[in-house]
Amino acid sequence: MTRCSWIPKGCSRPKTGTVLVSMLAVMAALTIIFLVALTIAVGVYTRHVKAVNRMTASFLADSGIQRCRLSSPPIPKCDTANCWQTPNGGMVCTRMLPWGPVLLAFSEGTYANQQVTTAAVLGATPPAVFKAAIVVSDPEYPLVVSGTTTITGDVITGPLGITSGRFQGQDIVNEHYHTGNVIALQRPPAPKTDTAVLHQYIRDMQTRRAQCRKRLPASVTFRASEAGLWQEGRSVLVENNAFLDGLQFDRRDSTYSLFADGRVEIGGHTQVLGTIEIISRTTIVLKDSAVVDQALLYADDSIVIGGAVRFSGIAISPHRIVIRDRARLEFPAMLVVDAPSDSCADSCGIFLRTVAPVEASCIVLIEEHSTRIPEPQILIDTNVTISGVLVSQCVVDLRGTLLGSVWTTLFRFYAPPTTYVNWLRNAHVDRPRLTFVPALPILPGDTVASNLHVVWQEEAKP
Amino acid sequence: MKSVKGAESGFTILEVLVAATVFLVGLSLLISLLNTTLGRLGTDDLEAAGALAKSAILTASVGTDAAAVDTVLVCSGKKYHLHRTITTNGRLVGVMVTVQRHKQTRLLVNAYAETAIETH
Repeated sequence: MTRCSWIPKGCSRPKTGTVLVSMLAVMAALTIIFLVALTIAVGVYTRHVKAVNRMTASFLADSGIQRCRLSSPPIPKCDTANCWQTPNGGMVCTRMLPWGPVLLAFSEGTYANQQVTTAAVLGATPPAVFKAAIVVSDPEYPLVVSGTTTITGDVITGPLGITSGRFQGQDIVNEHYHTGNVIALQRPPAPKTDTAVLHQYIRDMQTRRAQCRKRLPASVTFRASEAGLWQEGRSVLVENNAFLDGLQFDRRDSTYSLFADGRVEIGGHTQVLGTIEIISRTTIVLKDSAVVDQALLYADDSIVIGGAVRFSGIAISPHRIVIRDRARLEFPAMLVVDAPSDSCADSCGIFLRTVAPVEASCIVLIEEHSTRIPEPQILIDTNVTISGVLVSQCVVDLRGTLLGSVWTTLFRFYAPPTTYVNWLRNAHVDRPRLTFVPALPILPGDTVASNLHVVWQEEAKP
Repeated sequence: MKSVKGAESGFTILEVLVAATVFLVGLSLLISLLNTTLGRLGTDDLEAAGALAKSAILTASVGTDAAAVDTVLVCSGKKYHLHRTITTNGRLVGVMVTVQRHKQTRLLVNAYAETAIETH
């Protein structure tokens, strides 16, 4: 047996150096922990820096929208960008384009490699006329109220003023049917909007349609996530019918388009949110529990919104828009019928027949006005309650409740065999109960006295 | 030959003391390094400065009389220097806000916002 000479007899060789090695191992472990903690701390710091820079970029994007508010007609004819540097070293780029009867603005704020895009819809700031409950521009007829009609707010009419009438032998129920001032004018203001914006939008939309590269020849049903659909280019054209059943679309960083030569049906649990235009050459139908928010619908024939749909976008048709069943319109919903003439083959205009609450602006415009009492109308059915404004260059048939203002050429309702011109029966108008600034189309240049109004504004998801 | 069972090995007190000292020195160095790094990063400062800047911009948008505001604010026990300048260009109001730790030069926030003057 070999023995080390210095080890005493009976003793084994000691295990030297173990403690130091153990300490070194512990130090190595602590160093790893420190490095992990440092990495986490740096990561947290970086996130905070990004958050502050993103907040700064967000303020810049909002500034772009504010500059867009200063625009006044003539409206932008093409989608051109306008960029400028800011005093804090950032950059803002904006672009505006017609979006139905209003303007759509995109603003990109960039600061220290953080970019925020904000989309906004700009409409007219409501002029003073909307402070009144009722404005009737035709000076030839008095405004006649009957039944249970009540009016709260000012009334602007022609020189014949307002009076109560007997309907089918019945006097008006409430003698004090009006609370407010009556302003009788020789020439009350007539409702008008700047249709140049709407017509420019239609031309641009048709150009986008002609330039659309992604074409699907047959009828298509869009069910799943939309991610793949709009990856190549921002527009899709279906050369037949299009069915959206469960599609989930949510984008606000640019405009997107879905064109259909046939019918478009949006149903199921489809959610269409953001700056997308859905165009049909025939009819668009919304049904079931679909949700459409901020999108624009345009149909050459008609738009029908029914079921339990929630709609808060813009619907435009030259013929007819119908809201029925339990469909719910929410601010800032806007319905626009731009009728080519004042005669209809069948009923034309906007028809509200839903039992759910409605928050909307209803606009009926007419291109050529030749008859005394044009056919296109806004019909607010019995038991319908609408918060918002009604603007009609034709007639309004108000049978329900309006919490807001109505600006029309004439009222009308039909009780066979008689047409009652400029009559209100069992209608209720209450201006003070309008609690929000309504969305309005761009007004003609000579009536613009205020900045454009931001109807809605939202940041695009990163 | 008989095998001899050896006695249990041990560590001298000196070895233990040296090892413990090395451990404590190393640990304290690591902790102080971590604290210094976190302090220099100033994550809390960024959060506070962001909130102050946002408040200053939103307040200016509502409407204030002073064209420039230079003030020291206290947030979570720390002092921050906030400088706000308001400029008017036609129908636009521009608000420039910088925030830094009191008596320090590094800018924590350098924000700018514009708002349109309402016309009636």
